[in-house]
Amino acid sequence: MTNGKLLIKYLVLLIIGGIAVWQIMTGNTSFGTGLLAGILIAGVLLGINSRQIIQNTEKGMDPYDERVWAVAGKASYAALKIFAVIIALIVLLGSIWGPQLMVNPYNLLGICLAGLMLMYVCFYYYYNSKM
Amino acid sequence: MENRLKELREKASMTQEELAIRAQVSRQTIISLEKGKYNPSITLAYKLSCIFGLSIEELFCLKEMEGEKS
Repeated sequence: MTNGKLLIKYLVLLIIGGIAVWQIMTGNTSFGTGLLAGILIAGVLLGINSRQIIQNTEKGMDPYDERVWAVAGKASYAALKIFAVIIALIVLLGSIWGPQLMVNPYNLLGICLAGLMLMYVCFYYYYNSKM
Repeated sequence: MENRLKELREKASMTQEELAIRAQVSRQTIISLEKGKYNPSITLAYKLSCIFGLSIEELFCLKEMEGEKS
């Protein structure tokens, strides 16, 4: 990871952090606090991860070598496949037997994204231990 | 795929980290290769065989083809 890329990542976190503070100040405290907590956790994890990556790069190792890409590829494929099957089942069964619900589309998209990311992370650790 | 990576690395008194640096991969990749959990690309196999001064066939061997050789 180059310093430029790292700087952009921290800048994005800072902007989202700013949005979180703005949301807290305007009264949307639950969303703002959740977002701020997420940003803090992401910032700490990014710091630890980038330190390890910089150390390994300085030694002459490639932290993003072919094995990492192979693991990431397998994890992405598995997560996408399982996600598609689950969504298809929910749509199929929900359309037949489920009640008609009014949902906030932003919340729904957020939940879908969180589920997909969680599955990806789980599959990444699974394939990382297998390969 | 089976390989002689660990045997040759130990013979050359090389650590996993040193081999990882020379092959420009992570130490985890060397660990996985030695355990036979990961099959390398042709580029990495070539790099590793060059490090030990051997041919790819001398370093890596397909399990199914081992019987045919002898």
